[in-house]
Amino acid sequence: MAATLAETGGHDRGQSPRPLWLRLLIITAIFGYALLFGEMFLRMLKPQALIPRYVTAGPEGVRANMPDTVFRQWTPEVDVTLRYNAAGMRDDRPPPPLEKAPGECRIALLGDSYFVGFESRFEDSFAVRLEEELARRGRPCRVLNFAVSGFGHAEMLATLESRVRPWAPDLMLASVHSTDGFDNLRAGLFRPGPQGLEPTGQTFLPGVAISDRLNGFAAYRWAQENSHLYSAGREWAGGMGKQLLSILRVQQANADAGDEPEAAPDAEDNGTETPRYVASQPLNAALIRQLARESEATGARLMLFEIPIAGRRTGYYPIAENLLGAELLAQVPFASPAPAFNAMKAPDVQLYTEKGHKHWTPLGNRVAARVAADAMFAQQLLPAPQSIDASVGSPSSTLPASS
Amino acid sequence: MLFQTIPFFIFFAFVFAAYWALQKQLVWQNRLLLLASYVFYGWWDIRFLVLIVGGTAFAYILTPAVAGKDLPRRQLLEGLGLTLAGALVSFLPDVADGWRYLLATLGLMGLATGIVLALDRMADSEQRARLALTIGTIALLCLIGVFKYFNFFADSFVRVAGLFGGDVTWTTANIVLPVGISFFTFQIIGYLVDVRRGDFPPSASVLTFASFVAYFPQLVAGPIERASHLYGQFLKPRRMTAEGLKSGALLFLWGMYKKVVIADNLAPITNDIFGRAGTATTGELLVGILAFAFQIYGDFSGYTDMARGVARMMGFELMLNFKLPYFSRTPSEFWTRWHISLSSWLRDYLYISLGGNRGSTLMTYRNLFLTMLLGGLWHGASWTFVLWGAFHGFILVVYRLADVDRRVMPSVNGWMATNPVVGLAANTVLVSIMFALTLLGWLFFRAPDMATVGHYLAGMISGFDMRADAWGKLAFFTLPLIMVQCWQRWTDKLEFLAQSPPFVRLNLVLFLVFSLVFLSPREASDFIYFAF
Repeated sequence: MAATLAETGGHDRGQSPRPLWLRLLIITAIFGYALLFGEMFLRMLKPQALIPRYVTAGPEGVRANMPDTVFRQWTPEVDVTLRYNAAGMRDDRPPPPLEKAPGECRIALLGDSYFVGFESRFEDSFAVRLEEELARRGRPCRVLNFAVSGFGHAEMLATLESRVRPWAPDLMLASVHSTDGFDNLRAGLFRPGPQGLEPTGQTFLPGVAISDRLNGFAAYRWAQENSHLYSAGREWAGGMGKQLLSILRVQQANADAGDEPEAAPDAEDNGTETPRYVASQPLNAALIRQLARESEATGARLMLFEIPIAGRRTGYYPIAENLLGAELLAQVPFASPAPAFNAMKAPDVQLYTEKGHKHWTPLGNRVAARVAADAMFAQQLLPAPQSIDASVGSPSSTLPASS
Repeated sequence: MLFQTIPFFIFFAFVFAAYWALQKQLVWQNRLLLLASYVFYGWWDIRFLVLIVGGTAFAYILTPAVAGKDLPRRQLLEGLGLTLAGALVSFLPDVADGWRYLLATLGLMGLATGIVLALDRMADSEQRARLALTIGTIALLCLIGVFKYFNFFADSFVRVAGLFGGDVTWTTANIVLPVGISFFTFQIIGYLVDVRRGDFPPSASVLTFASFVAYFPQLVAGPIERASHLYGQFLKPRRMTAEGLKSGALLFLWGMYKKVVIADNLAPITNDIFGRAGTATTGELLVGILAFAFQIYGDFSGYTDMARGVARMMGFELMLNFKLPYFSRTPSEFWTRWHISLSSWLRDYLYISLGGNRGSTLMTYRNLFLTMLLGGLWHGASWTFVLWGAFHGFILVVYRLADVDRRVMPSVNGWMATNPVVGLAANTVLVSIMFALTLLGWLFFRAPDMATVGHYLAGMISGFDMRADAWGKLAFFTLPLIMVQCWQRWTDKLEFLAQSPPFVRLNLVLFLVFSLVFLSPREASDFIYFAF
């Protein structure tokens, strides 16, 4: 007769208990085998997007790209190599000298992974396409890519002074993305106050200390770029952490505003549910106004550029008005590729990747860059060419052959 | 509270821990189970708790009369007390709106008391028993009728009246269907019939009886248990063994895989194709119906496996509800493999009550057909379910007319012994024919209306374009199941996980766990049979 669990403490009688070391060994072996099994399972049945970020702590207390890093991103759709140059810009070229040549035009890109050009080859990235569009229009500019994966406006503002200003850009092009509202809130760096933006925190480095430590191990770096199981686990953990932090900060923001708590956004959100973003709107608007002021202090204009939410080739939804409010958008130079994207929508037109992290495809980058260049010319945001510096030229002429 | 969601895991962890702690106190363990079952049921909508509590109490106080015995006053008071407690819990949270229902419940309690007391005064115990069973059955069927079929008949009435220019829309009431109502009422009716037939002694413990009716693993979607099988398990201490815990957990895991990975991933294919049946290609229509066949199997048998797994972990054994149904060779075999608890219920309490095969051949066919027709209607108030039941009744009659079970099957079984190749080929042909008929039945079952049935049938026979985008997805999610089921059929090991060698089991468990983590849709969805 079988003994009950209470009598045996969970073990069947009649078996001599294994020594502890053997049990530990078996558990370790099973765990290792399970990891191997999981890796094989994912590779065969559900390949994951391998999107390492290589961000580290910047001197301003927010994230920065790791300088002089070359890494690979792989998804079932793309296989690309990314290079962060010595200044931490996503660029296959070395950073230009700080000192601007006479007549040289510089544009600083402030944004997240869309502007970094994740899931795109360098020559297909938004930054390069923008340089090409401007060169084609007879106003060559060097695009300095200060975008960092995961950045919101709070972090852009935190890095403007030290990271961007020394390069004396003529135009700051900042992205407006659906994640910005919650990124701004969860960063906890600023809050809107009666006198404008008030600093509330010194640093925002989510998970950076751990990843910095882990990046010291070659096995970890290998796993980031090659392990599907690691990638899946990381996305899950990162997503959960982000969600939790968002909920906490949204509740806090609502409590400050005296409103009821609202839910954090989900990935399928088409951006049409305005109330979800209301909690972050005052902070977003204050951050953009401050960004505009700081840009002007640098001698540059600020332009906002929207990253629409993609609906699987069925439509592209604007988000900026929900995030920033119509009033602010009327005051700050702004452009959105959403109308151009929607004009192109068709079952066989792919503007966003679909098997990775939904970044722009080469076509998406090209269309977005064309819209941005059109807007820059239409709104006369670029300085009038005093003399066109031939050394800037077209980016394709300066690209290394290996890229 | 769905089995595959976090709230259930938390709920079960607490219940299991408390249940374990109470291992040597049977009464307290049963009390815990009853409380847990009512919490589980009330989780959906606490107002409906009164239905299961009231149904249980009514059957409990009626039982002595059904057995032809006098009603002990203690039993009457226990039943009324249970109903009152259930009504207070159900309606007090929203007393502003609930007081009317509370009064109605008190009124029904008064009526029920009057009925059982009147029955108690009847001198003829045989007449009393017959009348009590009739009243009990009608009352319970009325409960299903009101909540499940009222809308259907009211809407049909409105439509018919509309044809003659009448407006009777005031008859519609938009009554919400309480989850699991068809299951627990059938379980109670089965119990009453068993008591009447003398197959089971009348219950004299409100706690045991209520626990039997409401036992949470099988409460909302079966298996529809028999008193002779489950009731007795509440009377003696359950043995919680490591083996039971392990095999229960493995059964739960397999059930969850079938529900979450197979059924929930096939659901979008089915919904898409049935939603545009008029414009889909033949290939898409075929994919749609195949996807639904595996979806409903994964969904319902997955639920049953999870229910049986949870019960087994607590030392209970629930009846088998599915036994590789798509390997059936004849309709009669299909109904011994698909939703066994319902088909055997219909056989024992409806088909036999109608006369079974005791009358003429024609009467047997009529009884078969009627049983399946009513079985179809049990699934829901819709003409498509009626058609599905009628179709299964029809093919049962046709196979019986051809005498396949008695003439063909012995030969095929004989070939399997003497000439396996021929036997296997014959079995394959029979299984394929039956599977095709089952698919046709599923078309009636799944179609939202008769127009869709028409579109579907027209599309299936009018074209040869077998292209469909979803073939790959269908194969991806069904092939592992098909392989496992072939293995189960070949080895005759239904619980293949628990019966596999350790290393094979480890790999299978890892496959299931990784599939659950990485291949399941983001949102948990209801079980199809919750709607029945």
